[in-house]
Amino acid sequence: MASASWNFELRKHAPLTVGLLALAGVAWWTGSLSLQLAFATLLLIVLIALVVQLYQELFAVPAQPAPLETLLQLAQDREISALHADLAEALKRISAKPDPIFRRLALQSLQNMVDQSHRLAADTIEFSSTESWRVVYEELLKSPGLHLYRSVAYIETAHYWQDGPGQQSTQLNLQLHDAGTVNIERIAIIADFLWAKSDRFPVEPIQTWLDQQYRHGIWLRLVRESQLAGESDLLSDFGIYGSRAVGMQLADAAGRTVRFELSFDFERVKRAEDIWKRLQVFSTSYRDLLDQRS
Amino acid sequence: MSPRACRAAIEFARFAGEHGSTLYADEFLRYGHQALPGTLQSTYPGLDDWHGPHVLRDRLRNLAGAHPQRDVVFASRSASLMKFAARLLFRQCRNVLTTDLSWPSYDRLLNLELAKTGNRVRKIAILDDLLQRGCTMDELIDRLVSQYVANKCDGLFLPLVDNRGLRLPVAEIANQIRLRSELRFCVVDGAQAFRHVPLDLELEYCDFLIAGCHKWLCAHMPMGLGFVGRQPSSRVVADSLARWSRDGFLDDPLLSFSQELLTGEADLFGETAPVLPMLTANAAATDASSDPVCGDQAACRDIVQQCLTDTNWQFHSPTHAFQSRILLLRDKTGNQRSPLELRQHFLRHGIAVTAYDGGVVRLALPDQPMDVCSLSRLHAALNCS
Repeated sequence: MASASWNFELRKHAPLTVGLLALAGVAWWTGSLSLQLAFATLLLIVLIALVVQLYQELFAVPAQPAPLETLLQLAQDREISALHADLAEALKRISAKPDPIFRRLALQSLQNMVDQSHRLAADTIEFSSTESWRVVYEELLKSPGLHLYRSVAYIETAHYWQDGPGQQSTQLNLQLHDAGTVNIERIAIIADFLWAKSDRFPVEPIQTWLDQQYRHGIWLRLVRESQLAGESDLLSDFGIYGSRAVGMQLADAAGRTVRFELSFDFERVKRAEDIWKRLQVFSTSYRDLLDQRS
Repeated sequence: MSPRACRAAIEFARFAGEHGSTLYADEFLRYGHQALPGTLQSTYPGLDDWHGPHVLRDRLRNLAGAHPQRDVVFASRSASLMKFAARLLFRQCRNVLTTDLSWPSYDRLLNLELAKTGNRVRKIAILDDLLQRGCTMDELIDRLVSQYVANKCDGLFLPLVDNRGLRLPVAEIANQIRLRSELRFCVVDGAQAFRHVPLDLELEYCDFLIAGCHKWLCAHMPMGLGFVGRQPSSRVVADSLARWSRDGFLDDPLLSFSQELLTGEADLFGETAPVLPMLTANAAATDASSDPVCGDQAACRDIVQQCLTDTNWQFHSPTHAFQSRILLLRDKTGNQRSPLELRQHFLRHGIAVTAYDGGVVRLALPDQPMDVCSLSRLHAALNCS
């Protein structure tokens, strides 16, 4: 490698060197002694400068190429490094397959993986069309150091959290709050057809679901969807886990999870807290609704 | 001790000695004196005030001025109810405002419960303002409400009357807070207030008020009382009481037993409960039902003031708005006798006082003007010291 660089540098500077030497020869034969001496001195200086530059270029430490830097950093994380090695091996095998249709499909699938990886890099994990997010939900609620869980329930169906997984999550909320492990507060955004203006409370089974939480001491606030007509960015279903993470849920008409996105990005947590504070302005405490009835 | 309570205690000792393990005892406790056979009724006439726990509950509710449908909880100790109330507070509140007037044991219980949660307590010092600086009612209310709002509190724990006799306008404070901020749960320490000053529970300013039977009710036997103050809190209190009794957090035997008697749900493996406090409380409540809560306080204070003339003692009192039937007297000479010495000095003259450091003693005035004999003893005690 060193001799190759040397040859490259020589070839780069050869024309200049030859030209200077030719010029020197002509001047030597045609000039006076003093001129010859001056020219020789100048030539010597130029040659020294060229040698110094050549030396610096040859022995300068080159910047490492990006892939190498990445590998070195990944090597510090054993688990990630192992995954990277497996992935690289798999990519090598995919690359060796010539079938164009397979290649197209593989590239699409790999691109999805890349997109998902970018989301993970942005501290976000997504669960699609599955209730398996509730496992992580439970893990977060029970995690040490979590003392406050603020939840916004966007209730567009009477079946909200009434299925098996939903009831289990409700029981988890009640147990943790009752034990004092986590303080839980909830704001319920309720679709107007589930809470008519003429009714003091929403329809069943939503009302029972809310009342059960209230009796366990969970601080509840309610707001009708129409009250947020000019604040569409407030219409969302999410939970803030302390200041650690925020989870956003999108459910279908039957109340089943379509997508659940969990983000550990602090900026997103802050934005969720802002939404929470704004929702508090529009909502009424369940206690106050009970007060009205009494 | 109230005369009826005294009679009930004596009669029950006889009854328990002779029929303690029989069905008669069980029927008597559940349904009252009238459930006993005629012969037993006439044998134990001192127990004829007892008509069962439901009637006791109604009597205490009446005395407290509570709504007829609000729950009343009984416990062996008011500390059990404070423990319960502290947990109720921190289940709903993140930041509770208290003052330096809180009874130290209750403060400790509050902090114990606080330590298990990620919540906060904001303690406001008002004792010096009330005793030394002549703070007015409006100033106090404004100060507490402002501090509540500024610190973003959402819960309140205050004594209605503290152990020094300082009476706080808790109803007004709670109402002002509700106008300016959110008050999720309000617990009031009424241990020194029940049968001393009006509890004003009909104003529905607090969610839970803790009281006792052995102070101003004169039942002698300690029994804690918890009054539910607001209808929306009823279900939270009732459900929480049931759950925390089942899971063992609340392990007060009288609390469990009285709930059994009131609800009819038996606990087959419950602990033996002291039932005498219920009987003496019932008897004292019967005596008290014919007496108004507040006698002429001003007249009683004036009489004591006269006794202080030409003595080394003076009132150590807040402004009139915060006064109650508890008086603090201070030795003007700065005599550094210990609290024990002071107490013994007054006991030698037949007067029971609570003594504090700095030559301060606490007297509880009766609701009726003192007779000549009592006044003479008081005058002698103040003169001799």
